[in-house]
Amino acid sequence: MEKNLSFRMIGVMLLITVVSGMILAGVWAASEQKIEQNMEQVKLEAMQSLNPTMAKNELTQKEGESLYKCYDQDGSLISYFFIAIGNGFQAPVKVAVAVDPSFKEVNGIRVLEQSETPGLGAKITENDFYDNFVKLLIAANPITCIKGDAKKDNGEIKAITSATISSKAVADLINVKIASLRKAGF
Amino acid sequence: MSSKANTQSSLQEFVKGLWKENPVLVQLLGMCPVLAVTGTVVNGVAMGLATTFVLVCSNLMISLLRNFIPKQVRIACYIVVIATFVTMADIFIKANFMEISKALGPFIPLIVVNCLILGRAEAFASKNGLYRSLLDGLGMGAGFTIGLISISAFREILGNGSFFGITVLGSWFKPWLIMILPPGAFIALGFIVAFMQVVKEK
Repeated sequence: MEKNLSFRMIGVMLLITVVSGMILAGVWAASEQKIEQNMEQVKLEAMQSLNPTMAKNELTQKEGESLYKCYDQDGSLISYFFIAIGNGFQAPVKVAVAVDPSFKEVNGIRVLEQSETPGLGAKITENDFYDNFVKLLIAANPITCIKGDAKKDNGEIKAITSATISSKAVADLINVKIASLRKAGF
Repeated sequence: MSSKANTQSSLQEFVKGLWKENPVLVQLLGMCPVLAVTGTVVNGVAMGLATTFVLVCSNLMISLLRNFIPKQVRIACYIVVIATFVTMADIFIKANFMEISKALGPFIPLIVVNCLILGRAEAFASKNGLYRSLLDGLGMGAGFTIGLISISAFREILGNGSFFGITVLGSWFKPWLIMILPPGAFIALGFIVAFMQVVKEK
């Protein structure tokens, strides 16, 4: 009797989890493409808003790294655009970055995906935080996160009050990506 | 005679969630999303509908499986069922309503831990038939949505001078920023619950 009950408990749980898993796999398979399209759309919108004068873009790959070269109407190269991913406070953060083609200056960023704390870390998606990265000089030093007044010509950004970890995470993940892009020879 | 009594009480099964046992304003269940996402009416409605979907589906499924699940492992089974529907809702919103998915962020997956849903599964759906569990889920879900709408309307009108994103108060109105910020959620909830109590006493 005892044994029967144990088997039943295990059997029922197993059945429910397997059926749930199968249903979710089906739902995911049906929606995956659409979600990817949405992501692509978000990426293109970010690219356009970081490069308002962009007329065309071209995906370039070098040694396993890839970025988009953005050109204006006259065909001159205006920026490199790439996606950087790193760890935030509790989940990955995905950021779109535009830099000038000599890697001297960040033109701007947009956060594409994040699960930071609402009201605190989630402020990395606000324009006040984005403004930190407009015309931010990175030729000499990597981006550093400081409290109080930040000097843009020294690669400094102002950390969000009570969300230093999230602010620092964004700075770090961009630094890491830029370093590996430089290393790959861009 | 008996059938008449039955229909009457099944109507009550639906109505009780709207007012007398309203999950937000009377039972104070599921406060995490209530306080967190009611900054704008659009978010409140989206959260309410997603929760209603999960609640109705999980109520139906658990009612259907109520004699099949051994009671020793029932909570674990309920959580798996609820999590499945929440993930379905999350994928659906991500695929079709990108903007809402961005605005609500982690709160959609967090519907799993909304105690309202597990509460109805344990207290109602596991003891009642399909039809009644459906009505209970619809009523409680509608009540939850009404609760979210009333709090988010209170906050959005005072905090932003708008309703559903449309400006309703003229330029003379200076928005009370605090109502949109987290403390505003507590203030709005306090006033609305107090109002409900006054109405009920009369």
